[in-house]
Parts: sequence; C-alpha cells; structure tokens
Amino acid sequence: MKRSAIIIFSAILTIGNLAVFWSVRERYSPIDLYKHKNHLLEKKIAALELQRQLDAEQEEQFQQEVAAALPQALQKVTQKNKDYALRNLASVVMRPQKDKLYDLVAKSVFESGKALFRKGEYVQANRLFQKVIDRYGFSTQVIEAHFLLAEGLYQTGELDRTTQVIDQMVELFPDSELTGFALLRLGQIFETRDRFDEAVQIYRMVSRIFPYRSVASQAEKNLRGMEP
Amino acid sequence: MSWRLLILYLLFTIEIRVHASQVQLPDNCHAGTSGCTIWYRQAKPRFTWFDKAVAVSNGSIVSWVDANNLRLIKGSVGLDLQEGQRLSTILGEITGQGWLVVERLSKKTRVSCFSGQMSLLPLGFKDPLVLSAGFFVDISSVQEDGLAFVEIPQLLSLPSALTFWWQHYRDGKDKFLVQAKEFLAGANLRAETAGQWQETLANRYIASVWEQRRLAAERKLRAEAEGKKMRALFRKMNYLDE
Repeated sequence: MKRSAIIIFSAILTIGNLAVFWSVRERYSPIDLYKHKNHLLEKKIAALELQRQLDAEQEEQFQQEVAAALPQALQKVTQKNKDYALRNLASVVMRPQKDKLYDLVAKSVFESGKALFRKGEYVQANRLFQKVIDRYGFSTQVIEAHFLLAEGLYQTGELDRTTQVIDQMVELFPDSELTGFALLRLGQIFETRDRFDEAVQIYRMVSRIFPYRSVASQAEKNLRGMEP
Repeated sequence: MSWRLLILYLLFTIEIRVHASQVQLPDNCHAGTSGCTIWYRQAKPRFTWFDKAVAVSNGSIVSWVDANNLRLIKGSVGLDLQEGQRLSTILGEITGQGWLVVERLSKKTRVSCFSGQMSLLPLGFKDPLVLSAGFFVDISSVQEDGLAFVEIPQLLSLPSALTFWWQHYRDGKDKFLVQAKEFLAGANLRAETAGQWQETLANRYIASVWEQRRLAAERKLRAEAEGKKMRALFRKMNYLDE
C-alpha cells in the first residue's frame, strides 16, 4: 500500500515536472524564435527569387518586342551614319540579318578594292583585298580577292608574295577557274626568272587539269609563245 | 497541457507550410487581383478565376495583367476559357471559348486545345490564328521577319493527350468523363483533317524544292556571267594576253 502510494506520487511528480517543463520551455528556449526567423528569411528569399524571375521575363519580353518591331524600323534605314545605332542593334538581335550585313560589308570592301585596281592603284587595292581575305574569309568574294591580290602584287613587282598567294589559292580553291589563271601568272613569273622548264611544266599542268576551255587555251597559247 | 502545446505546435507548422506553398508579389495579394503575381509551389495547385477552377503545375508563376487577363510566366496552366477572358504569354495572346492547356517550355510556348476553338495572336501578327479542339501548336521566338515563329498545328496524340488533360483538370471526374467522351467522338474527323493538312503541306514543300532549284540555277548562271565579265576585264587590261 505504502509502496504503491510512493509510485503514484512519483508518477504524478514526474508528469507535473514534465508539464512545467513544457509550459516554460517556449519562454526560455530560443528554438522557436529561430524557426520563426528562418521562416521569415525563407519567405524573403522566395520573394526575391520570384522578383528575379519576373525581371528575367521582362527582359525577354523586351527582346522579343524589339525583334518584332525591328524589321519595320529597318525598312526606313538609309545608309547614313546616324542610323548606325539601329543597324548595330539589328546585328545583335537578328542573326540572319547579321549574316546579310557581313556579306554586305565584305562586298563593299571588295568592290572598293576592285575600283582601285582598275585605276592602277595597286598598293591600296592590295590592302583591301587582303582585308577581305583576313576579315571576311567566308564571304563569296574571297576567291576573287585572292586572285586580284595575286595580280596586284605581280603588278607592284612583289613576285615572292604573288607566288605565296597563288600557292594559297591552289591549296584552298583547287577547282576554281581563277586558280587556273593564277597558275598561268605563276608560269609567267617563272619565265621572268628564267626558270623556263618550270614555266612549261605549269602551263602543261594547267591545260591538262583545269576543265575550263578559257584557262586551257590560254595555257596552250603561253606554251606556244615559249617555243623558239 | 502538453497535449495543448503539441496541438499548437502542429498548427504552427501547418500554417508555415500553407504560407510557403505560395509566394505573392506584392505581398499577400490574391488570385484575380490586377497586378498580382503568384508563384505556386505545392502539389496540384489551383485557383478560381471567373468562378471556375484553374489548374496550374507545381512551380508555375502566373500574373494578372488585369482582372480579365491572366499572364503565364512559368510552368503550365489549364482552364476552361470563357468569353472576355484573355490568356497571355511572352509570345502572344489567346482568347476564345473552350478547354485549353498552355505550357511555357524552355524555348517555346505550347498551346493545346481540348474543346471549343481558340484564337491565337502571336507576337508581331496582325491577324489571329485559329486553333481547333484536338490540336496543339508551338510558338517560338520572333524571327527576322518580325513575327513569332508558329509551327504547323499538330494532332494531339490520344492516350497521352487525355492523361495530360486530366492532370490539368480540377472540375471533378464526372465532368471530365463527359468532356473526354466528346473529345474522343471527334477524334476520327480530326485525324482526317490533319491528314489533309499534311498532304497539302507535302505538296507545298515539293513545290518549294522545285522553286529553290530554279533559283539556284539562276544564281549559277549569274555567277558564270560575273566570271565571264571578270575574264574580259583582265584580257582588256592585258594581263594574260601578253
């Protein structure tokens, strides 16, 4: 009887202690405070993340709207300098337009070189042809630029460089008709240097390999000219 | 006492979860309020718009341009669109009547129409495009012509389309079954229409290939003429005919 009373008393005391502990725990423990702070911070981070995504959306929307408005604006563009900013923007926003601009610039440089070449201003012309080759290597004018550069260098007496450019043409555009003509020029260079055997070899090779009648007949004409 | 504390603790935890499942900008704004943006971060989220349940996918962000114009920023949204309601994305706007799901994918927006008929106005377009029930269309970024790129509408493939629709359906199983039956009833006719489209497209493609070849031949002729001019120039300048 006495023992059971002690056990009941101990149990009540333990439960009482636990109850007191639970009731004062919140007051003295910082855990809940930290949890609350943590929750507020998480909420803040989520709001910032949402704001970031909204900003990204706005930026993308702006890009799309500019891209949609640009073709109409470009129709009004003239070649004046004041429109440079708009054309520059177009080159950034629209890749296909950028490619067109690339071709346009390459053609413009090449045509300027050609005009100088016709006037006999070979040094300036050569500079522009070299620019086409260096900067616009994928443009459609690059073969002609090589050929005219070789011709221009020949005219200015830079025979070694001429040979180098013709070598490049043979390497890069072996099937081009212009390469055939350039090789004929190489033959003439050999002739001027009294390397007649090599010149004959080149003319024969050109008349045999290049399927273009104009190149082959020119090679044969040169061969006949070398006959004593 | 301890039980009470335990219940209070649980309630507090539940409250945190409810708050964290949505993030609003401005703070504590409500669905349907003009200028309110909500980021849904819970399983099977939904909200009510014009007294109808709207389903969004977990992680979706939607914004109300005004009370009638809902803008999807991220994720997907499925709803029974009514007259006067407008659903917009970065690449265009959708109006019409019927059930549709709009998804923002990584590089395009996909609009799937399950019932009724939708009117799409992609960015840069002056006239709207029509999307019929049973078809979906992909819209991608604006191209060099200033128009958003709209692909040819394609037929929604049947088993997966219904599953997908059900995932975005929040009006209950019974209503869904009725609408799904209607959807299935029109499937054959839609397949026939899609077949005719494909045939027309194939014919157009063949015609365009012939046109491309003709243009290529013209270009070649022009290039040859240029080459001849070039040779004449050099002969005239006496570089080769020495």
